[in-house]
Amino acid sequence: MSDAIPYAVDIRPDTGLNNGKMGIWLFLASEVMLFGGLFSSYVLLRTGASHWPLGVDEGLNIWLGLVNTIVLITSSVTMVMAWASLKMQDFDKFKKFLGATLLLSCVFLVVKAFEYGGKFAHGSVPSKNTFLAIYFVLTGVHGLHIIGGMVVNGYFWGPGSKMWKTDPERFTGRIEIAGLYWHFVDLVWIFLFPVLYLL
Amino acid sequence: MDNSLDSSHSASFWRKYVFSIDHKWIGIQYGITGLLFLLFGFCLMLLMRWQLAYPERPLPFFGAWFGELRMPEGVMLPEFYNQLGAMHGTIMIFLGVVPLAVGAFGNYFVPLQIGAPDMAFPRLNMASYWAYFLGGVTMLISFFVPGGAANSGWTSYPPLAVIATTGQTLWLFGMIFLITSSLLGSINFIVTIFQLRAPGMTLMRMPFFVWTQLTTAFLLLLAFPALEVAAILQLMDRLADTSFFMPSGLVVSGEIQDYSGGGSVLLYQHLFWFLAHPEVYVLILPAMGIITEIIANNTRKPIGGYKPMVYALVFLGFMSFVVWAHHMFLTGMGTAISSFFQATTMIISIPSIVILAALMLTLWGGSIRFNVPMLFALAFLPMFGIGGLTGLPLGLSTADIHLHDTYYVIGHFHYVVAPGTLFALFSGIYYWFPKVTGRKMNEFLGHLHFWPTFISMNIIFMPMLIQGLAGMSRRLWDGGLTYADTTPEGVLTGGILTAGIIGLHKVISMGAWTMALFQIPFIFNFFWSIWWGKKVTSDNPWEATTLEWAAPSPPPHGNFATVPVTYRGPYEYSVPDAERDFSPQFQETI
Amino acid sequence: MSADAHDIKREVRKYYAVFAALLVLSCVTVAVNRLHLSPSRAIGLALVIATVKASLVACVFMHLLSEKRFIYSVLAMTFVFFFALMLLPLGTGSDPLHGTEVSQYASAHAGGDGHAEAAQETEVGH
Repeated sequence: MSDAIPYAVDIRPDTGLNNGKMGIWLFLASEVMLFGGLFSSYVLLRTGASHWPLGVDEGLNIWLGLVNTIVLITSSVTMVMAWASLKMQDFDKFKKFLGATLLLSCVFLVVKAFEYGGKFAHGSVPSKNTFLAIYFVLTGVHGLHIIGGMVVNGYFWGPGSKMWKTDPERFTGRIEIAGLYWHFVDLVWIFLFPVLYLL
Repeated sequence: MDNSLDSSHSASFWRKYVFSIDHKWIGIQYGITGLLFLLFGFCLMLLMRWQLAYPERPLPFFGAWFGELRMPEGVMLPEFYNQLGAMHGTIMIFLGVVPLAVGAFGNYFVPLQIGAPDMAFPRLNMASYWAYFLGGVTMLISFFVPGGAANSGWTSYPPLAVIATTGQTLWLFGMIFLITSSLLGSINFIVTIFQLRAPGMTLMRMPFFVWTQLTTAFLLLLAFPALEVAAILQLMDRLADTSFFMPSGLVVSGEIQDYSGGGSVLLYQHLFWFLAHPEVYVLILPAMGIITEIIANNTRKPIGGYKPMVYALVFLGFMSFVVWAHHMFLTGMGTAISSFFQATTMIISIPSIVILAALMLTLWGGSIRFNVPMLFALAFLPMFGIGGLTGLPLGLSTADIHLHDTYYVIGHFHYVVAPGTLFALFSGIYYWFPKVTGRKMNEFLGHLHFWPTFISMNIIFMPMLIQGLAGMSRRLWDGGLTYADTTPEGVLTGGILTAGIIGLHKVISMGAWTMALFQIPFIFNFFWSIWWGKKVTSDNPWEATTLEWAAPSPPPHGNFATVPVTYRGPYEYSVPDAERDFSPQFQETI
Repeated sequence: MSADAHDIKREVRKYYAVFAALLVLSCVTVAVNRLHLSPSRAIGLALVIATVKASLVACVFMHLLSEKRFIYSVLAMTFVFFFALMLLPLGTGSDPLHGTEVSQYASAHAGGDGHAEAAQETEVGH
């Protein structure tokens, strides 16, 4: 008996996947349901309300939102480029791209923190009305996902990257999985931006 | 995160027994914790039964233990009764039955039954157990915060739950831990089942138990996020004073609440039941899987219709996502929506009946061995049948008007979960004990456990159906005295409950205490057999066909000496012309 | 996994093309918002743009265009249940029983800080 879990790196022929990739997609399926539930709650609360303020009425800055959208999209591209660099056996480029992703996620969080701070300063707290409440919940849960992604990406950028020397194929697989998660977080924001800031 | 299973061969005590990554040890951890919580939840119920049978009388012997805040002079306060009710439900479902059915049996036997060396993600598996453990501890701590544990029912409906005492906040945090645990667990199960099957183990050769775990894992994966949303939003309502679930102008004790309003109480109920209905199937499906193994083994014939059972199971899983609002017929949803959910509810009873009928038909013409696991499995069939059939009137929106929130509902779902799922779990413990420990449990003590438990279960739950039909609400802390038609002195009060109906509480409570007494043989048997039970002489003492019996008892680290190859379906018993009356999956020739 | 360096280079060009498209679409969605269309049109259009952007991310960055059947099945199933989840508002909002339409005053002040007014109305209501 081999002492390792089968199909941790190589592909199982009948499913065409390795364990990690199947796992991350199942996790994302669950995440779809999580954000789906929040989104559904948003729709229910909004359709039930006789008056629903626009984001701008409550002091949301569309331009900051747009900047953050662009920041996150860019971080998604650097993430996929980090993976592609590993595919091309270019470890230095990988470091640069993943570093850029980390930096951009910091920028996103800083902008978000300024937005939050500005709202708290103007008394726009979650308890003021249901729009602000769902705004803070949606962006807050999304922000937690960003932080979670940063922890994972930070690990692979720093101590975790040692694996490139011992098991490059496995490491590339891990970056792909981290990337899938990161793109999903980006994808959620693509919906959150118009829903909260514009509509 | 290196991937070798070797790392814990020469591991330290902590690695081996506390933060173990071996699926078998994690299964045992789940099992022990789950059984302890089951006992704890059971004790909460015993306290409630005293209060219901003898309201306002001091509890003898133990009454003084609970202090002035809960039971001054041994008489239970309504607030404490409400805590017991809410926590009994929460603990039994989320900390007792599901961790046993999925965490313990699933973890231990799914990898063995598909011929895998371990779960696909051993460290995730460990994290899943510890998240569950933390959730459980949070729930226990909540009993000691001011105001006590959560007291808004196991469903935690707002607005009541939002204005409830601190215990509710801990309940919500506890739930978030439990949701995380089951999310990690379910991903692990699905990947393990699809990726780590041994050569020859095609999907349609998997034991039915594995199929039930697979379906359950999908239910947990996709339904639990809805409860997570509900928990997050309710936490916001409680901690940040938002009003997701709080309507405008809510008045509590004559005072208008300081909420911005605009929330929807129905939103919570929808989110909650979007999880909680599939959760019902999480409770019952693994149980069906366990008894399928045991019935096939002890009738010595193939189960009657493996494929139809699998298809019915998958269909059941799908349908369980579109029946949730049958818990909400009385919320004013409107008739069109109610009719839709009524129709889906009637449809979902069909696959359950397919599975039950297949198991019943398996008994026909079998040479049945009446050992203890089989007794529990046989008792499961009619008990689950009663539970299922009593559910039909609840699924009809008109009949539900009368029955909603009465003891009938309590009787119904306890028939499904207590003599249903719990019997299956007991059955599984007796059946797989030799695999886990290398020793059999004592048969005589098993009988002493089974027969009184079986009888007292019915003494407990059958009268509840009658009380419910008579209109007894499930939420009465005084056992219905407020609604009695006469005072104890015989003066007419105009209430609806006769002395006879209220008196049934005493019968039920006697049944409950009898049942408690006859769990002692089980507990004794369990521990005694670990060290002094009769040693099994072969790895396959029940002469079963599935792969777990190919492994040594108990299985070593990595489970199998060589990767087992699967040659045939899971229940090839009494094959014509075969040498013996069972042809294991791992044996090349019949 | 057997993609050689050439294939990857072609992929990389695709990533940058998608990046450009995403940037343009982000600006378009803000620009459309400046037009002040009627609410239903604005919502429809913004969601269509968001869906296009999300599909680009999913199909190209997440390689969904060339994924395995297992993943497609899981996602298909998830979306079925996702739509079931989206039925929640329908279940609450539509077809109320007569005399239960409380939403006029229940949410009249969802947008404002109207504790006092809400309270007054409640008192009138009782």
